Amino acid sequence: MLVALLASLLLGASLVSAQGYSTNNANSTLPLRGGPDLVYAGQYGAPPLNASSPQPYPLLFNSSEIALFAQQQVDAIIASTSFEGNCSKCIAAVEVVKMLALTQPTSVPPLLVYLCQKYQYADNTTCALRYQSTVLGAYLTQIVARMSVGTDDIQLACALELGGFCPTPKAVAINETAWFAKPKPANATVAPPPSGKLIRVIHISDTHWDSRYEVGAEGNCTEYSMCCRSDSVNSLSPNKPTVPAARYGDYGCDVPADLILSMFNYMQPWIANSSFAIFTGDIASHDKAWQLSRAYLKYEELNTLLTFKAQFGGIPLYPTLGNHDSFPSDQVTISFGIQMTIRTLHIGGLNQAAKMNSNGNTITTLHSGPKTAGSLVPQKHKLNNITEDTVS
Amino acid sequence: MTPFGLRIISINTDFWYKGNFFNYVNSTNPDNSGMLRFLTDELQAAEDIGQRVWIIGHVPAGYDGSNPIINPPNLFYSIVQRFAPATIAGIFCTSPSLYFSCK
Repeated sequence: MLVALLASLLLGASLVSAQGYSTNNANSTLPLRGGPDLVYAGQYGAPPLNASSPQPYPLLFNSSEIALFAQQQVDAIIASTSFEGNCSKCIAAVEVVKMLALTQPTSVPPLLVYLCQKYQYADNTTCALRYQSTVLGAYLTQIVARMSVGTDDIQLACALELGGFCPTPKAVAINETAWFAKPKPANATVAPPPSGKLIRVIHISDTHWDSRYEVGAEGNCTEYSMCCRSDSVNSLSPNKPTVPAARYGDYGCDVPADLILSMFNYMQPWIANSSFAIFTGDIASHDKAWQLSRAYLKYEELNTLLTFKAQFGGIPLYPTLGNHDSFPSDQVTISFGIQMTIRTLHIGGLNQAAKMNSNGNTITTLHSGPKTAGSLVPQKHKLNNITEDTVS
Repeated sequence: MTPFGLRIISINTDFWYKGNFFNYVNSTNPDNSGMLRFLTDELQAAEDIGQRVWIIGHVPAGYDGSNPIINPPNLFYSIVQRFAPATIAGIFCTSPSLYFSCK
């Protein structure tokens, strides 16, 4: 084979002189034989390094295509076998939703409804109502747009909220030397000796007054965790309540008016002998997210606090916020200048009330940030004002 | 000083409640709200004048995995260790499941 090739080359060389050689390559000894002149160093007509070529336009998809592609990617990520474990899948899927939230936020709530239904985070009706843009969808869109893998946000959500797919991230170390102004005093390891004087304090919590409680409604409902509402249903007996809600309350329900009032009636002798009371939060009822409204929350908070004021009589009440004392329920932020959440039980308002009280030489400090943390020293002041604090 | 010599500090435990989805932004910062800085400064002021404190809140900070996220409760624990038992005399809260479960 090699011999044949050499013979062929030699034979060719012997025939070329009439065919000509390169005019651009002085050292050329090989014949062109009528073919094009093959150049060196990009000269004599070879395109330059910076020659431009026609470029395709960037791809432009319409909004429904983008929404569909995002949905398909999340489905594909969940179905894929190429990820190492469900934590990676969860993070990747949330990243897709995040990028959709950053670029096309109105498409996120419908995607959340779709994913909730497809992966059965709740029944279809609950998914459709809960994650629509006018209920939680718009808030969640704002949040997911700002979540970052870099600050463990998506891992944490995958661990705690989305199904436990990731291990809970480890706590970051606290630099206590930097955090505390002074080290713990050597003598601060024991409590000071008691004075021997006793005071009586009332602690109430989680009153959850349900102003929509309906006597006679289904008290053992199957479609939601809180019953005794006009729309409460037991699936085995949809037309006739299996456990009609009693006037003074039922076990599967929030608290009707007469239960609150009978509690305070019972407490009166203790209230009379107490120095003050604390309330550790949760005024509003456990409503379905789509049945809550800012107006409803304010109504529940106002009337409960006015009831507290009337029923506690002369003793001060020191309140704190529960997760049900904001709208939407559980949602509170100060950090992002994001859209509105509301905290109705505003301790700043209580402080103002205390300062306006003629007896009130109260020492109070109010945290200027969240406005829902306060330091209160028991004095002769009591609940006499309610304000709201809107974050926008 | 007050007739009781007691300061009550009320904190908004939604800032560590896992159901508050806003907590899933910048979650490695244990004090996005600044509330725990406020609490710490209040406790320091109380310690400086020998005042005792009750902390009241709603959602327990405990590591039971059911209610709080991770980093704010971790800082809260440091704060409690720093100021209890001399300054912090009690912590009162509840939980969404109606337990008076703080101690």
